[in-house]
This record gives sequence, structure tokens and C-alpha cells, in this order.
Amino acid sequence: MKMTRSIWLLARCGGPRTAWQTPLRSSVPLFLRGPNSTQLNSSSMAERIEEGGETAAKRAKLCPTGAGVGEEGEGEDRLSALPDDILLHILNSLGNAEAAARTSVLSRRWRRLWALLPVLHFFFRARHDKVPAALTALDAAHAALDAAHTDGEATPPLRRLGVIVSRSSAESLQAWLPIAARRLAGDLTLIELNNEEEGDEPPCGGGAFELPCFEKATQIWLDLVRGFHSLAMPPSGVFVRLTDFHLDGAQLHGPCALGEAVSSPRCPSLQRLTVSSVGGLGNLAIHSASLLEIELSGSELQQLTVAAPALEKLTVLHCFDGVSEPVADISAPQLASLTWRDAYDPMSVQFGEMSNLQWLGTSFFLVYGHPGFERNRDSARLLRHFEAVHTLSLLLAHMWMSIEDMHDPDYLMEEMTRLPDIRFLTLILLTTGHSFGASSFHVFRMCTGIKKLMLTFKSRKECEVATACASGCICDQPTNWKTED
Amino acid sequence: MAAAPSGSRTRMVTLISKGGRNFKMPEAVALVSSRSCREALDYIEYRGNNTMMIKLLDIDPKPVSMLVNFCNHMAAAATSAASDDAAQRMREWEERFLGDDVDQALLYDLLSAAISIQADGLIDLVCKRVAHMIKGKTPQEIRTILGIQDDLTPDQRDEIRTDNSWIDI
Repeated sequence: MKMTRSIWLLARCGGPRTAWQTPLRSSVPLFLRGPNSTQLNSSSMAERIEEGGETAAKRAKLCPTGAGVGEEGEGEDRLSALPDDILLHILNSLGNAEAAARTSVLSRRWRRLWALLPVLHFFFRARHDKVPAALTALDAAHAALDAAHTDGEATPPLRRLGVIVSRSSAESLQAWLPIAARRLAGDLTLIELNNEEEGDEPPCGGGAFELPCFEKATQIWLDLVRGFHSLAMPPSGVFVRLTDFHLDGAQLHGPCALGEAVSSPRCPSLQRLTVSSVGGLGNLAIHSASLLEIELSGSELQQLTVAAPALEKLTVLHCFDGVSEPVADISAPQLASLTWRDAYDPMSVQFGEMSNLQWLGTSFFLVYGHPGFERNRDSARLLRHFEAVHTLSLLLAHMWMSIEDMHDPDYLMEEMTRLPDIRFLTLILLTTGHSFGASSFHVFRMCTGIKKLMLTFKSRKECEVATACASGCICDQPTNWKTED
Repeated sequence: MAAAPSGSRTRMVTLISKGGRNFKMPEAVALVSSRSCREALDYIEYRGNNTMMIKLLDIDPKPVSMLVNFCNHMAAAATSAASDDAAQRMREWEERFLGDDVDQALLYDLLSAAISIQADGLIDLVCKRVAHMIKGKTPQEIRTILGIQDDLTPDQRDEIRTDNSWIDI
């Protein structure tokens, strides 16, 4: 259909509209295109959130109050007539939910506008008890908005909820999490800070609470104060849309095991699971047809079972440190990346068929120390297990402690007898001032097929100055590597 | 998508303000800055060298001129490499753009103009400015600044306070 030579767009700005009759634009509002990163950690998220509110201050020079308008509100109200999404854009620019909610008392137009914000961030550093009240207010506002919709159009749901609090009581969490579960159709981030401000009454112990089932949420990130709370997974309900679940710092208690809650029937869409510094895992059994990435770190395990046909990445760090024998059964035929910085025994840890493995990361290997050092033994075993892998990431730690403390340390590289057939070697050297020629050469000799090598030198934080070691140090031996071709 | 112009002239988009004043910007700038232009141009099958004209007859010349200025600046900034320096320069430019000479009436006119062609960048900037104006202020102060009439009944006001015990209002 041909258009006429010119297009005439007539713009008109005016006419009052009732808050709930103007739907939000179907296209993603500008302010939702902000920090959408799924990899949030508490410090970066807090920075980004603070920045959202501060940016306006940094960008705009301080505009004198009512500039050009005069002292007594002589200015006409040109804002209230604008569509919802513009007013919401202003409220969103305030940076946090509390500031936005204060506008509820301005006039009828503004009364429940804040509850329409798709993104709400609550910062209650010292006042965790306010969160239940805030979520209750949100719930009530949504209920009123829903009731006012005579045309059957639903109130747009909450898409992102961020809560940053100081240590909460279990009652507080138990009070507001179910409201979030009902209202949230997107991601939840809860960050609990460990710092107590002056004059705070610390809640008496973290107490036990149960995570409700979030049927509409897509991502849940719980960053709790380590060992403070006792968390139970919901015994029933399906996390229908959950793709990312990240849990840090809780102590788990029954009756529902974590594995059961995150396995396929109850988490049919789960793709990424991260569990760190979580206690009470015991035997973790995960059966998931959807999981692509699993990371378990610093969380005591007795036994690990993973049956995940679609799994591409598995990372296990320091979970079997406390047990006498690591027991694991990993069935992940599509696995491309395996990082196992943990105890390993080929008799009790079964890796199953992994013909797609591209990346292997092992524990560090101690170059000078006492023979029979377990970590070395396990790393060497793991290296012997795999025939071929494209990329190997290996860390050689030259000294465990200062050389004076160690009586007669031995050169331990001979314990590493075989490496998989590799194309790309990432060798990380923690030299602490010692010579690394012999140890790295030992590694190179075993992987003659490599096409690419990356050497990274790391220093331990405790070493303030990278000094060379004393002459006559054991790292001078062996010297025979220098003369070989 | 419209075919490339046969002539060497750059195609322009013209905004017409109150009083019939014309303000032009290159079509490429309009495409980057204005959602309305993007959507409109999607529908055009044949344009040749025609100029797209947008009537903003309700809006004074000054805000329309500022709108065009903003769009041109943003489009130019978008093509240069991103860096901390560039970001800093942009912030400084925005501060000057919405400087002391921009009173509230002009601010709203600017917002109207931006809304009419869905110039998201400018909408965002003005909204942030308004947010900054009311941040940390009491409700009565905000009403004064924004000229909002309090049409709540005392009952409603009490209800709001009860519902929102978590904030002091």
C-alpha cells in the first residue's frame, strides 16, 4: 500500500487518564533495559543499584527548587496528565522502592502508581522488619489495581525484586517471601549483609524458615549470611519457570532435600544451579533433564549424584574436604567443561562417559612438600583418568608455606606421571619467588602435542614483595632439566 | 525498508513546531533517536527523496529545536568509541543541555516533544531530571514543585498511611 508523499503525525499531550486504564507499553520500557546481567554478585549489584539513584544527581546540576515556578505551587501540573509509563520512568529514576512509594500520598493519580513499577529495589540495611510491611503494601496495591480492572486486563506483574537487608529474622523472611512468590514473574535477588550498624538489635539467631514455591519466578538468587539461617526447600509445588537458582550461605534442613527440589519434575526449566557455602547437604542427588551448568563450592558433601543428560559445565570446589572418601556418580554425557578442585579417587568417584569434554580444571599441584600429599595424589589421579581433553588448566603451587617451616621438602613433580592429550595448556604458576623451570618443564615434557600455551603468574596475597628465594634453596634442584633437549 | 536514494542529497526528517517553524535532522539521526520514525519508516514502501514531516503544532519552537539538537548530539556520540572519557563528556554535555536556563515549563515542553516522537534518550534524561528534583522531598514539597493538586479525601490519606506503615508519609 503506497503511502502519501509525506506523513503527518499530530502530537497531542493532554487529557487526564486514570492510572489503571492506560496499559504499559508492550515494548520493553527503556528503564528495564538497564543492568540485566544474570551474573550478579552482591557488591556489583549494590553498586549498580546505588548508581541508578545517584546518576541523576551526578548528571544534573542541582536545579533550584521550583525554578521558574515560584514559591507557591503556581505551576500547573503537567505531569499527572502524562501516560503511566512516563510517570513510572520518573519513579524508577528515584532508584529505590521506598522513594517511589512516598509518592502514593501526592494525589489520586499517584496513589498506586509505584506498585506498577516492574522493578522494585528495597534497601533496608538496618530495618529488615520493614520488608514484610513493604511487600504487604505492594500486595494490597496490586489487589486494588486488579479489582479496578473492569476490562479484564491484568495489572502488569512485578518483573524484578531486589532486597538488600541486614541480617533478617526467620519470621521476617517467612512473612514476605510468600508474597514475593505470588507477585513476582521474573527475578528475585535477596542479599543479606553481615555488617551491623550501631544501635542495631541483632535478631536472636537466624532461625528456620521455608522457601515458598515460586511458580512464576525465572531467577532466584539468595545470598544469605553464612551459617545464620536454617532453610528448608518447599516440600511441594513446581518452580515452573525457574531457569537460574543460586544459593549461598544457608544451612539446609529437611524434610525436602535440595536435590529433590531442583530435579526435573519440580524444576522443569532449571538451567543453572549454584550452591556455595551451604551446609547440611549430606547426600546431594540431582536428576535433571534441563540443567546446563552446576557449580558446587564450599558446601560439605557426603555423596554427590548427578544425572543430567544436557549438562555442559560442572564445577565442584572443596566439597569433599571433610570426608575420608569422596563418593560421587556423575552421569553427564554432554559435559564440555569439568572443574574438579576436590578430593578424587577413581574407585569411588565415577565420571561416566564424557566424550565431549573440552576443558578440565584440577586442584593445584604442590611442587615442594611432603610425599603423599593428598591433594597431589588426587590431582595426579584425575589427570590420569582422562585420555584426551582440549584444554587443561593446571596450577602449580611452589611452596605451601615458607621454606623454613618445612623440614626437608621433597620435589614432588614426579608424582604427576601422566597428562591427558592436550591442545591448549593454561599453566598457572604460584611461584612465591622460587624458580619454576624444573616444574614447568616437567609438565611440558608430558604434553608434547600442545598447540597453545598460556602461562599466568600469580602471587599469594600474603607475599607483599616478590623476592627471589635464598641461594641453596631446594628449588635449585633438580637441575637436569636444563640440559635436556 | 525504503530503497536507497537515487540522488546524492541526504534524506531529512522535518519537525514542525508551533508557528510553522521547521527543524530538520538527517533521517539516519531520526532512525537512531526516535521510535516513531523507525516504526513509520518501516511501513513506507516508496519514498524516493521525500522528506518525512512531523507536526508538533502544539509545541513551541525552542523545545523542538532543543529536541533536534539532542538527537543530533546523541547520534554523533553513538558513533564514537565508548570510553570513560566519552561518558564523562556526555554527562557534562547533558548538564549543560539541561542547564540553569531550562525552567520547569521548558522541561515539560521538551518532554512533550520527546514523547511525541518517542525519543527515548531524551525522555530518559528529562525523567531523571524530574526525579532529581523531587528526591528526598516531603510530599507537600513535591506537590509544590510539580504543581500537583491534592485531591485525596482525609479518609483516603489515612488509608494510604495505614497501608504504608513501612514509610513515613
